[in-house]
Amino acid sequence: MLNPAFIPTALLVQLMLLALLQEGLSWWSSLVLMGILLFKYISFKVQQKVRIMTINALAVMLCLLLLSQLWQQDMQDSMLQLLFFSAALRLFSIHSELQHAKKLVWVQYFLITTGFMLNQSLWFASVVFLLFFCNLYLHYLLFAPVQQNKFRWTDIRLLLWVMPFCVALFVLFPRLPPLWQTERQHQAQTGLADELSLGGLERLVQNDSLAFRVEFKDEKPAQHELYWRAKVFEAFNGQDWLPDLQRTPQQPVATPGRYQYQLVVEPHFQRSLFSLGQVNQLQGQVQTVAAGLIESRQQISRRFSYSLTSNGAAVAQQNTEEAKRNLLLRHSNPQASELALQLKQQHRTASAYARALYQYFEREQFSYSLRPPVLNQQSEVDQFLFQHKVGFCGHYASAAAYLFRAAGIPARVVAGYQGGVWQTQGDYLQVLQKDAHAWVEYLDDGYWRRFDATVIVAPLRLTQGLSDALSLSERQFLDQFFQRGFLGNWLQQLEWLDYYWSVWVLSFDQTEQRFIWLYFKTMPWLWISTGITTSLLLVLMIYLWLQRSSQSQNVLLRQRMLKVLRPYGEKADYQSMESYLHQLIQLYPLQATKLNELLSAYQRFEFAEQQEQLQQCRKLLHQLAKHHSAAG
Amino acid sequence: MAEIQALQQLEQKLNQVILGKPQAVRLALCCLLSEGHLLIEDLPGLGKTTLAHALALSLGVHYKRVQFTNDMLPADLLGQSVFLRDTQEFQFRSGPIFSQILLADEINRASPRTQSALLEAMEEKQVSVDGLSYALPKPFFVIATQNPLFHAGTNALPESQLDRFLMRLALGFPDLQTEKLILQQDHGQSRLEGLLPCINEQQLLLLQQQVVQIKVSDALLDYLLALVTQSRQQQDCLPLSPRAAKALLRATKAFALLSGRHYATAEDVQQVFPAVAEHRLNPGSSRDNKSLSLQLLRKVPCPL
Repeated sequence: MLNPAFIPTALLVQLMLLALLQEGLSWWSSLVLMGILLFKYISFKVQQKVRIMTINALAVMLCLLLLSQLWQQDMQDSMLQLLFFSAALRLFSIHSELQHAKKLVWVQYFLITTGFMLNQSLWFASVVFLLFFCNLYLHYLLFAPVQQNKFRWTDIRLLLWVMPFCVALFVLFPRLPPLWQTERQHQAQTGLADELSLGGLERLVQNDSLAFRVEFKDEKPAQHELYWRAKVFEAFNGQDWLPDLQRTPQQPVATPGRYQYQLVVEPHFQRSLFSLGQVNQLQGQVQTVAAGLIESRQQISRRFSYSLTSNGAAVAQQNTEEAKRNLLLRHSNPQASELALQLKQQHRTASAYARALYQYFEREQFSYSLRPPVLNQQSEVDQFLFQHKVGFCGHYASAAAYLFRAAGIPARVVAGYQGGVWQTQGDYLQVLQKDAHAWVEYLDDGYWRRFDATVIVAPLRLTQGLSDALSLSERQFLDQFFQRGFLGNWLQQLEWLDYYWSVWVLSFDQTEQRFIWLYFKTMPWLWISTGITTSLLLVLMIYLWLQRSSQSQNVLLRQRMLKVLRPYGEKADYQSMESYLHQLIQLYPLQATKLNELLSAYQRFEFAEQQEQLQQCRKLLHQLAKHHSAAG
Repeated sequence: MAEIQALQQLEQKLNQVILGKPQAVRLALCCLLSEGHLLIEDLPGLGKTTLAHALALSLGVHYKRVQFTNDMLPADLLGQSVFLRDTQEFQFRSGPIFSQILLADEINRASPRTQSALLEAMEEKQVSVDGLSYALPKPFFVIATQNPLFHAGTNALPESQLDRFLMRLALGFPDLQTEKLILQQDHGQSRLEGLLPCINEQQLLLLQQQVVQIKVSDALLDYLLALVTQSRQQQDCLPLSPRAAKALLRATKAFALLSGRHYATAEDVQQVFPAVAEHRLNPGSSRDNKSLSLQLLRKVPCPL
């Protein structure tokens, strides 16, 4: 018999699931699911049973529909929808079948956890937990007596007891890498584009969302040193800068670096990752690729964390091929090429040339704007350098790289992020999408030196971030409201929580586990104190347990007796144990000796309070139970 | 230990006299051990008086028998002061109540006035005549018999007075085999002849002390209280008083002693319960004089 509260609660859980998994569901499946739930609710209200044939037909139809949509959606979402459909239809068909209800509860547990495939933020996780508890309640209803719909205090206490074990399991249970992985095709790509045209970063710059967060272990670099390299564009086709397709992996130089830092990257559905200058050591599922860059082994479709050590110094030249590659230029901008040659004649060395370029940008009164005039397709660099003299980082980087190459100095465009905002609560750096930046690296004496013309044009862009470099009046109002008010404080606290949720919970993996283990091993006192605390707790628990069981030992024994003896015959409620056993003795003369012994031991234990008889009772009960199961 | 053996011997002997009623015999003994008075109620000819006599005889104490009639006065029972010419003063001539066991035959034939005189003596264990109190001997039992109330010429004992009796027993008809045996062994002489006391006064007092020391577990007390409480919640019977609860506990203990145990069990409670409770639950007697207490027993779950 199913608890009458089961179906409404299950409906509520599925409705919440529908909201939770919205991102993974297509519009029509959401509608269909909504319809099924609504219909179930109505049929529950009017106590109308739905015919199983209708449900089967509906299931077949939905399967076909899903199949037909398969080529449009990615696999994971289709599977998610299939699972959800089956859960909803199962609920649809349940009337009072306990067996089906049990299955439904388990499928719902599974569906709830799939939520983590879509989003991993703390807020999402708390909703998942809420849903989990709702489902737990549903599970409870399966076994609760019909009149008993509420959790009792004992149930809640049991839940609390379990919590430490959950945490221990989370920390200690071996973390396994994913058994399989599905790539999600995400239309809305965030992050840096795969090519850089003159106005390419514009889209990003307007975006206020989080890109990644960094926590430095010891030393923190100065604000103007925070150039987060993500992509290097080495090929120029006359208009756009493109990444070089030859990837020759480069091993990190295993020397101690100045900065140790951990990054938590928001999903951007690419593989590229961020680092400061030359990388010395890396940790986590990351690898090095050409040009001193690092990337993840998989597309980053969920929050991802890794640790690096780097000294912030310039990246070393890899080979002569690299230098050659970065000299190739299509002279599509004659004026710029001419300027380059002029400057080159005056300044022989690469560093002198770079200084001259800085001076040029300063002298010619270039200015910074996120809304520069639109450039023609032909000779964009020329137009920018000699006509408008207005642009943002993409323009400056592109133009500068052109000028370097035209002068015979190997140069490339680097895209990434610059700066970030320090969060006071957590002491971590928050880098937003609007901090996206592009700059140039030119080869000088075997090292790729940084050249960022934006420094000259908009110095504030570097030291204080983008907002100050832009129109101040509007931004300030918003900043004041968000950063100093009560709401701002609160939001900052939440962000801080979310950050540590990522650092401590989401990115907890094998390496972290091993790290904890190693940490333990190096600190014997920690070992010992943990051991002592754990054993003390254990002793306390055992003591409490014994205490409890001694109080109710009689009750426990009586329950056990009833359980064991029930197969022999039922005891009437009002019957005393003695008359019950006498009745059994009459029924089972072969067991008379054992039953008589049990009776006398029980009487002595129960009424004469001779504790030592308990063992005897248990022994006899064990024998009686065994005998019955053997006979039965 | 000797007294326990003597007790068992006593029970055995009684069973040889009262054939086929071991439960009634045990309950009667139980009543005496717990220092309570016994009321035996049944139809004439079922052996009430024989049981009472056998008990009195085998206990080896001083006993007297009084046949109650409707014209009997309290003085006939208690005794009276007589003026002695020689000494020119009153002297108290004690009545039949001054004995260790009083057999009050057909108690419900006496007038209420006589009945209350007896019942006062039962409770106080003393007799007041002409402003002077005379203590009754120790031990002091009253074994009363009565006919069912629907019989002609009876005065029902009021509830308060019934309550003074620890137990009300009914013997009931013997089964066929027993009755046959009774007929076969009828050789024209009473079974009571030749019944010798097998327990002395000392031993009886000792046994009564042991009853008090019988162990009663907490859970068992709870069960006993549950029974009493149940009677108070029920509409169709009178509630059991705390005195009744005390009586139940005493009888339970005595029953345990009679079973040769030093601890009482739930079964003991259930065995004595009808005898102890029925006349308190249902003062008007009926033929089937266990029904209410048995119903009550069935209503209270017994986990023990």
